[in-house]
Amino acid sequence: MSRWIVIFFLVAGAALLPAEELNFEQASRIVIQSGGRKKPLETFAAESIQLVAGKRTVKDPQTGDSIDPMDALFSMWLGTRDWKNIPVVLVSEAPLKQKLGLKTAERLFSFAALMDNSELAAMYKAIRAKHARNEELAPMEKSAENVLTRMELLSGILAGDAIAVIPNPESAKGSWYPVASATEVYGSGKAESLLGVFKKVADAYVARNAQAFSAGTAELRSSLEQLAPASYPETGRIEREIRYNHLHPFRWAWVLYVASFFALLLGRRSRLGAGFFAAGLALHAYGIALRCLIAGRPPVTNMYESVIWVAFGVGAFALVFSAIYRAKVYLLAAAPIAVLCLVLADSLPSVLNPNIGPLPPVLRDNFWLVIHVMTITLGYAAFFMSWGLAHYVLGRYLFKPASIDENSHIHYLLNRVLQVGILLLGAGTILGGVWAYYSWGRFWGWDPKETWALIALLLYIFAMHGRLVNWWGNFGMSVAAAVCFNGVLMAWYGVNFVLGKGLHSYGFGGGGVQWVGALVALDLIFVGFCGASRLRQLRHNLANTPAKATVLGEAKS
Amino acid sequence: MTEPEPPSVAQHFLEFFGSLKLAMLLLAILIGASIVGTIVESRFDAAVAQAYIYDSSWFIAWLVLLCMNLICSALVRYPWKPHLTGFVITHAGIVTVLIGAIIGRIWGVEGNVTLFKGEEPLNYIVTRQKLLEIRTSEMKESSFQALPIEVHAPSPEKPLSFDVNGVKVSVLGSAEELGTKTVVEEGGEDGSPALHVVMQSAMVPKPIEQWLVLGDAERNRADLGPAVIQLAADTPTASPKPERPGSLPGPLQTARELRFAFAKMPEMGITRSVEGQPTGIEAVYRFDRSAQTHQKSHGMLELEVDGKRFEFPVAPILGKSTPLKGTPWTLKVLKYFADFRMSGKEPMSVSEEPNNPALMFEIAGKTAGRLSASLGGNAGMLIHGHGQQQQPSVPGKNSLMIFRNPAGRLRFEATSQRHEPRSGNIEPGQEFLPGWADWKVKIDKQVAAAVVHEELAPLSEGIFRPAGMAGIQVRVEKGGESVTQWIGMASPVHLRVGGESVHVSFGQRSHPLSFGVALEDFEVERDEGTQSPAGFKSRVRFVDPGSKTVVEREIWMNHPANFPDFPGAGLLGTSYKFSQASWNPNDLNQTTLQVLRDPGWSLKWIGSLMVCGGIFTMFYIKPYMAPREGEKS
Repeated sequence: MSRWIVIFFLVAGAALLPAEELNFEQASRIVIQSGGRKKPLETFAAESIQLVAGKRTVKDPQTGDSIDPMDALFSMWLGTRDWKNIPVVLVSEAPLKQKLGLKTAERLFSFAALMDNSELAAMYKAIRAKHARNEELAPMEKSAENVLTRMELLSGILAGDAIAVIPNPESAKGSWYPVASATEVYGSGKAESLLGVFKKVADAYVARNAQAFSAGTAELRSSLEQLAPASYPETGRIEREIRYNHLHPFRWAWVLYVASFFALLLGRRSRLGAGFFAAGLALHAYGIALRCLIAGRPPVTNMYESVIWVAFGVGAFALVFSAIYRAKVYLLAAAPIAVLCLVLADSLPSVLNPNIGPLPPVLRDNFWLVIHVMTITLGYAAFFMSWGLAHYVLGRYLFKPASIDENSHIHYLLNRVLQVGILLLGAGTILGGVWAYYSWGRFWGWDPKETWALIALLLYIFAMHGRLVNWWGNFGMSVAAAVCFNGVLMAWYGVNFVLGKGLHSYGFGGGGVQWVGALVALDLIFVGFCGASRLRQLRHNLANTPAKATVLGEAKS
Repeated sequence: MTEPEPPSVAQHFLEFFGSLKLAMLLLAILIGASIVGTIVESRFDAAVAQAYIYDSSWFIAWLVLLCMNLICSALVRYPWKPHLTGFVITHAGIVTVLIGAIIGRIWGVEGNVTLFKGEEPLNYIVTRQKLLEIRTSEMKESSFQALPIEVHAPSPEKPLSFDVNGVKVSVLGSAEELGTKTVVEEGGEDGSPALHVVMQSAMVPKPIEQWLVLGDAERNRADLGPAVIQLAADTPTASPKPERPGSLPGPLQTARELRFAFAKMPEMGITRSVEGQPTGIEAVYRFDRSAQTHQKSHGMLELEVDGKRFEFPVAPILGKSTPLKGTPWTLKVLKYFADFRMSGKEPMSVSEEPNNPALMFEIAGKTAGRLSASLGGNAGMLIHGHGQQQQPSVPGKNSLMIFRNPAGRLRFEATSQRHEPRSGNIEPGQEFLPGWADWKVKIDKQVAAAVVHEELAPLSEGIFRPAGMAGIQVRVEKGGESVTQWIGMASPVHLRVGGESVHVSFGQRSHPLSFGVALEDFEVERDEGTQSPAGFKSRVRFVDPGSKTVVEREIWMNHPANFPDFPGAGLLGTSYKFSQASWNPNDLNQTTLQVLRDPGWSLKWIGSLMVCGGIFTMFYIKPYMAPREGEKS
């Protein structure tokens, strides 16, 4: 056994020895203008590879090694591989692959193969025609359009045009240019020295000369900045984004939440668990703050950001409530939810797009937007938290029925969270109306998003009034807290991803519907099972209570 | 226990309408109906969901019932104890919002207004409601009928019918966009000859058809997909001869031609002689979308004149006269279209993205005409009388000339991009090959004296010229006679049926304003390095003839302007509120504003504040007012 390990390390070491790894630290800091803002080249590389291939890395067809985004970007930029014939363009939807006559088992196809595909060319024409007539695209056409966008980006990178690293000489907000336009923009004198540096970098990259590459990219970055120091963004901003890219704050936050969950579950010292939780929350908040600073706006304008923000809300509520009511159960219920949200956000970049992009005009420059969206999503968070707590309560009814009854303190704890949810969702929905009055011109228009927010609110109000009429008690409220959350889920996710209609279209997306549907169904089955077993148990108790049995007997006779 | 007094009828009423169980029923139905509404909206569209659910009378009745329930449930508990404060405020708040909504529905106005820079102030707005106006000759005032075509799409099987003064008007269909189709019929003595050309190829799903009318400046020539075709009179002297270099120079002549060049379709260029002879200048427009330089310069225009080559980035020469050095010609690029499309007869750009870049430019100059060519050309011009160039050839494009002699005999001359020109006689109804791939052409109908008119029809039904408007198909019946016709929005028609002239018009209900509003300026801000808009700003002028006030206001996203404006106007909602709603990427001298006057607005926000405050009181202040939780009210 140990001999094999030694051999493995020898082989691995030998493979590593000849080529010293290139260091992209300096290259990452080259600034590029893309997608309506200036960002580090590293961000562009990661976003582009993710968009084109649907994965974080691409594979070298010869060696089978995976190539990191920066390495891949340079390889495409400098043309060191035949990228047009390497399968790197994602075509994921099976019906589209069938229509295009592509192998359904494969996910990645080469640019050249797609370029030659006559079906795709025909679809391109049909899509253009539909856009010209302002018609809605069919689902298959939407997928085809995504493929075309990937191809366009890839060809832009291969041609170098998409890599706008030459700063605008005149204004800070003007367009940047690719390297090929350097002479045109800056005149041959300035451009020549820049192109000389660029050539050094290219040579070093091709030769995989690590030292020369690092030195060259550093020189390239500083000479680019010197071209137009006024339009170049401050170093601090770029460094901040690099820090955000490398820190992975949300990943570390969920690791800490996991640690906290197990510490709370297993350990008797809940302080350790709470400590982990607070640390996770702090990191989570730091990540959100960094993102806000990079984007220059609040982080609640697409699904990715709202998932992160809701997870933060859940964590924050849990910490506050556990401090007020001295109940670690809040943390215990919140930790898995926060982990679930953050893991989803971290692992599904094609569904939850983590890129930082500019906002549609209607969302800009608005005080009400910030207040409305923050409030309503915190309402979601409170209900999400109550959903978790409700499952804890139902679990106790199911597995430890002796430990809990209608008068248990835990019901009070759950109620407090529901109240926060109702207040925030109610206020958020109304604030949405106020915002709509200013930006769309009317207060309430039964847009699906606002209607579903109202439905979710009404569901909880229905549950609360039902308890007032004594149709159900505290157990019923726990069931309601678990079931009504589906209304929130519909307002939050369903309107954007399932219904896909209405004015809140800037958040629309696709994907994951079947998974969410299956989870909701499973959860409803679990809740139904809990309810049924509680009823059985109540009947059983009734039958075993002599006094009640006589009453029943009398009634029968 | 003894009851002091049996409860009165009023008390029974209050208790029933204020009961929690009724509230539960109302809530459950409200939830169910709203869910159905959102599903209907995603299956069909918002208009259908509004019509069948949210705006339907039963839904509103339901909300009124809910309102009563909220009021009664509060009255039943009167006099209110301190711990009921939150409950009362919340319920009163919801009632206030609902009353505000009803006021807004009845007395509010919602619509929009499209303004153009430099035009006179507009004193009305257009609402979303579609109307059909009908007036017979005996009627003094028109009859207006609501036309809910978004909700009930009319069809010949399910028309929307109206009986007005003995005339039955039915709407048989509706179309988002109409096109103009040319209809040619045999007519009176003075009509010109016309023929119907059909072109067929395996490459197109259905044949391309076109009427050509001799001597009609607009209809004797057509730019169809594969070629430009033209019908001309065949006179012995007028047969066009190929230009021969080295022919005798004639007197100096002014020539001017208008051209279109398309980057995506170099073979589709269009040339129209405005004056004099064709210049014969070759033009190629290149636009490499992936090249940043091209994005910035709007591409490159290449010209070849008598062996001299010129190349220009478009942006710097846009709108300027640029002499082509060493030639008699001057180039002037008149317009750049990022995403070219014909709208009606107007070329326009449908977006800012260079999806289909095109240029409109003029080439003009004085040149020594070539004698032989000028003779042929002049003869052609005499025949047409419109100064149109006879030879339809466009550099890099197939062309087909059809000649008709006074006896009605037809012959053709075809040029091709790739092959030798062809010519021959045409037998009516028989296919002939012009020599472009597998295209076959046939003249299947001929009319000796044509009466030409144009009709509207849905654009989706054929290759028509877009008319740029929505429309409906109406059938007007009287006394067993009927007329069926498509009519466009805001284009009234008079239809003669059963001895009666019926005025029919299709439009949107408008709402008059007591003041005028005009656009002073419109700005679009873009995201850096892209064409995507970051914001819009309209500067408008309000002109009130009553109070003789003129004010200028800026309106941008999320920043509406009120008129008449006074402190608190925004909170009251009784003024007209103008919000930036949409824009036209092709015409930045235009803006569309959403206009709302909602007298219920103040109740809506006051009620909203009450709801939030009430909920807060119930959850967070109540414990300080009531002895214990769990005490039932």
